[in-house]
Amino acid sequence: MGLINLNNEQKMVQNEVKKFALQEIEPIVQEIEKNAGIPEVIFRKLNELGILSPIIPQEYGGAGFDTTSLCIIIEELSKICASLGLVVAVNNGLVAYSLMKSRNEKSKTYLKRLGNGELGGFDIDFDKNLQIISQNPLKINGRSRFVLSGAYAKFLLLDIKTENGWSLYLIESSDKSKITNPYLLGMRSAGIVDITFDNLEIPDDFCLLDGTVYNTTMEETRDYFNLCLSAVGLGIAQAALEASIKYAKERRQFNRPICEFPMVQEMLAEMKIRIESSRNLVYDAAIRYDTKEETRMAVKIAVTASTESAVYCGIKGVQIFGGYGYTKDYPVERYLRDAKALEVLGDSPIKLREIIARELIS
Amino acid sequence: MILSQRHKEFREKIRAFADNEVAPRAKEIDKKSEFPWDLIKRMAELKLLGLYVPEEYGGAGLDVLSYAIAVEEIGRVCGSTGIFLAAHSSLGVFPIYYAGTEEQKKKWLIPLAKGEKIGSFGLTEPNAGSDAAGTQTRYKLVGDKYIINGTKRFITSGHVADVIIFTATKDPTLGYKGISAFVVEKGTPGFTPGREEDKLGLRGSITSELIFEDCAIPQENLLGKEGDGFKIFMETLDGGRISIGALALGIAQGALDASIKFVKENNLHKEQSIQSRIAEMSTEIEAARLLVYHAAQLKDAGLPYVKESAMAKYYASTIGMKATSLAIDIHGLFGITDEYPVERFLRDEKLMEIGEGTSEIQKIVIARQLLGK
Repeated sequence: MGLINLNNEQKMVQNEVKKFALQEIEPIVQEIEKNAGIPEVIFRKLNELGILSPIIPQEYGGAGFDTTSLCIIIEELSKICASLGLVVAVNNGLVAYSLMKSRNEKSKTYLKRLGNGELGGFDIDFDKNLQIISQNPLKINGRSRFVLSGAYAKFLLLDIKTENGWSLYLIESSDKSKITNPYLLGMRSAGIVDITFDNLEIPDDFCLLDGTVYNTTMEETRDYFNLCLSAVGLGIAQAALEASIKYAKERRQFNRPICEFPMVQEMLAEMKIRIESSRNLVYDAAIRYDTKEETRMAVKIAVTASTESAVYCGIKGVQIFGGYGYTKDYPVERYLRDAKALEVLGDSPIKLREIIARELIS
Repeated sequence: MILSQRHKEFREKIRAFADNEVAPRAKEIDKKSEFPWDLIKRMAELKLLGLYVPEEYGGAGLDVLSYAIAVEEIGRVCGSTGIFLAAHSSLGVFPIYYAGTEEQKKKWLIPLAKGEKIGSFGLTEPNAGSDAAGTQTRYKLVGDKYIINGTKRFITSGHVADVIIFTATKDPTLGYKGISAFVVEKGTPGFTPGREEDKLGLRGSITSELIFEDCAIPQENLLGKEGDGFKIFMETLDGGRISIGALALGIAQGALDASIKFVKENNLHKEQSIQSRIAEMSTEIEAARLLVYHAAQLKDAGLPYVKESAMAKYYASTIGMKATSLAIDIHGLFGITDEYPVERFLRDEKLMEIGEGTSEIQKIVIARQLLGK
């Protein structure tokens, strides 16, 4: 028996998502990439299947799935469209997770809205250029970079440093926040935007987390999001491997399929080794959440291994496809771009190693 | 390696051109997939388009080392302009310089080396990539003309080239012995550039199909003798590898330069984790530089350089991918935006592991030199 043992419900989720991704996303994935946007109908369908906000409890309209199922969903979606996988990762790993941790009564309203199929955004810019014009009521000006899912979100979570220290606020999208789309190497359809706030007033009761609770909860949230990112990485890496195997069997050079050449086989084998290593790490971390065990170290190792494996598989995928892989006629160049973007979306590989080491010696 | 005063001065000159004229255009060239006509004109004025060609044939009369330095310096700021220079010089100019008759040199080499005409090299085909000898483009002597049929793919500057050297076979069952090399000029009836590739990187460089449909070519357009095609293209690629190695090196250096600038601007220079990566990148880049320059010097000295040029390309592109990827890590989230050049460097660098012989082919070339066939 392997380490990853999905129960029947999880297997069912896996089959459903796989089927959905192949039938509904695969045919339009190139269009999604070209337009750098996912059609709203896709989100509606995901919500109908209960996989847009799967970790939200049923009382708020969610599916109440466990963390393992969430990772399965993100992985399967990311195999076909990593940007979509990322949107689901953000919706659950950042938005729903921090709303569920908040003691503010308002968070229930927003969990219900997520359960209803709305998407939430999350600001991950730690050095954002915001000016606080007034403290009471709280009014802000300035720009925040890299708001995840910002293009699709009806509301977003934003941390702001006030005179009382850092706090997490919820803001509704309005004409006081102007969205611009930055060019990005990858994850171009994930709706990552810059938002400029123009005298935006944030009512007091829209503060979700503050004080010491803010710090501990944000750390937990980042961990949970890292786990979701690791599932995205797994999906990209797996997609790159599958495409490479198919191509290596079809493409003939020197009168034989290139999969017969040891150097090509080595690349395929190395991809597989890295994917399975990180898969065990990702699902080990996910199961730890479901069984309420210690997760801090497990998620950090999982996300480092998985996103680096995704970049490796993207690079080698393009290599196996050769000149064809360098063009937009095949998806491998997208896998490479998405993987590299993914790798720096959470903590960078440099930072992650620092954090892991700190945990080891603390 | 200690460069001679002459080479140092040459590097300074090219670096000034790259920094002052190429760098300000690089982002736009990539964004708009714009073929850099203006920069090509400037490179012609600076005599960069026939660097190692003797002056009597319109070149600058310098050496291969100078050429490698020029590709490196331009690649440091713009991969698209760098690949144009490398493809024109190594693939367009070289075969005629190497195998052309006096008459062919006068007709094509002089305008190519002067930069009045753009050169290109049609070797790769839809089904003949790494297996370049598996060419399916056919030629047949009919009367006093060669009739060509077939399709080439992934041809750098294919769409814009005035003079294209290409390979074709008399009979695919003859293998490499059946291959000959020819010159076709733009506008020859039966010869049309096909579709252009939409690429991951090097987006300012044109990569296109070349389509031959009963294209009639005069006999005097044959390079060397019939059956010399394999030898000509192998020799061409051996030399071309030095320039791709130089380009890979230049792009990696660009990624390092950008990282150093970012680290200093953001006050990260005292962080050991950053120092460690900067040190790693620069050490590998320096090692790649030694390999590239060494291969160039061997070629200049008329010594065997096949193994060394393959090593230079293989190593420089491998560490180049690592360097450009690390550069993005150092920049963090900003590394994947277009506010910094590093994501462009990563996209551009990936071709260096593929074009003019993949890394896998380079390893085979190296191993054969060591182990025999």
